Amino acid sequence: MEEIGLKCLKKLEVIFNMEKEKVYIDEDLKVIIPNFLKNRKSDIENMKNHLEENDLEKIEVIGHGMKGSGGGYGFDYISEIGKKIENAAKEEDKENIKKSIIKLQEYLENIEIIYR
Amino acid sequence: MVFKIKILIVDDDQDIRLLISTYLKNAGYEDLIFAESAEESYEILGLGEKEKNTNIDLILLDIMLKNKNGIEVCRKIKSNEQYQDIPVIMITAQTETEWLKKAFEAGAHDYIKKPINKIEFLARVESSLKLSKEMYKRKLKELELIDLSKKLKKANKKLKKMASMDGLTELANRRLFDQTIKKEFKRSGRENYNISLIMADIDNFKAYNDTYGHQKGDECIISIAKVLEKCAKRPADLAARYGGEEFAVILPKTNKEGALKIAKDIKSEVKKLKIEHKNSTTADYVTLSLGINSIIPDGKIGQNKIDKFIDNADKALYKAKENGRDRIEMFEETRGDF
Repeated sequence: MEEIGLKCLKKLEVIFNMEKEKVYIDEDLKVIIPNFLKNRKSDIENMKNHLEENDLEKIEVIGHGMKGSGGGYGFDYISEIGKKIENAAKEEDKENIKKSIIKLQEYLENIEIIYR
Repeated sequence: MVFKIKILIVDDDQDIRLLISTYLKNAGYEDLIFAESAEESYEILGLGEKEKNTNIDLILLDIMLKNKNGIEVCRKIKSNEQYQDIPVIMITAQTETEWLKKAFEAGAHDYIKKPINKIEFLARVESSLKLSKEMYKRKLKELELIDLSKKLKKANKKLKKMASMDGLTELANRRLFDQTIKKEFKRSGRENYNISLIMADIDNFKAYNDTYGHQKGDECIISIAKVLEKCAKRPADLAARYGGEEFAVILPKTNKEGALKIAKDIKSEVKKLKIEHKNSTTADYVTLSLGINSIIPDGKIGQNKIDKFIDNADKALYKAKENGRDRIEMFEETRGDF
């Protein structure tokens, strides 16, 4: 009971502090970041559709793309999750794809970009 | 920058193209071309159906294109002469030695690892461009040198021709005649075949000059020279201006009969010109006297033998003059009257 209570407390803390994950990105990329993030959001929508249609090959391609571009833009986490999606799609592991999509979604909603 | 830099970026990922484009543009590279696929890059580079010059200085090439292996694409680009000196940088997430080895074997100059790091990326681009620029400079210099050496060759040829050509008639001059007769006479001796020499002189030429003036005299000489040039038409034949109104024709590998035939041609062609010569004691028109000598040189060949050969042709010519001009005489060794 105590443990569950602690967990709840932590989550509440996160919610109330609205503590976002800070991402530091090169000043040069300021103009193209919104487009990049928009593309990730459509990646999420597309992957969800492909998942329903059971078209894992297309998901693999999307994952591969994220893996290649994420880090270059400064989002190492997107590369990481892209790699996970690519591998899960290869292994036809739909559960892990789902999990990764949700994680990506949460990540995108919870980042604060700092240009420098 | 001295010359405008043109960079082709081949990558199937829109985000990567945009990222590279942003970095390059911020670094001052404005002239960027993009291709999404191998096929599109071939079209841009003129490797497809239509060949063209593109003046591209650097190619950034994704190692994994949707349906094609970037290494294959690199190999194809490099097999075109136009791109042999143009650096190709592979963009790759695959950094296994085997992949890189293949990329370098295919002609890649360098590689950039994904995720792309701005500082590393621009440094590699710059160093490749430096190479491209040096190559370009070197090529220009080479072209300049080739052009210069062509001009020099041309000038030398002209000079050589001028040194061996008679200014008035454009026939071989005496210098070239002397060289050629020596060479051909020796060769005939070595290879044991006939060499013939025709000496020809315009009849009553002093009277022609006195009557019509020196300018007309020169025109007459030029007309005769053209006939000689026309009649001595085989590659080894050489028509030369020997002296004022005297000409010579060297005929290697030609026996008496052959030489006589050519002499007859010359004589009749000159007659056909019908150059008026009213004060000639020979005819109403300009005529030629011709002497022929034809031998197979034997024994030790020295300058004295060559001189004698020429001298005997000259003797035949003066025999023709003595016998009334406008005729051909053949030198005969056995006849004592020469």
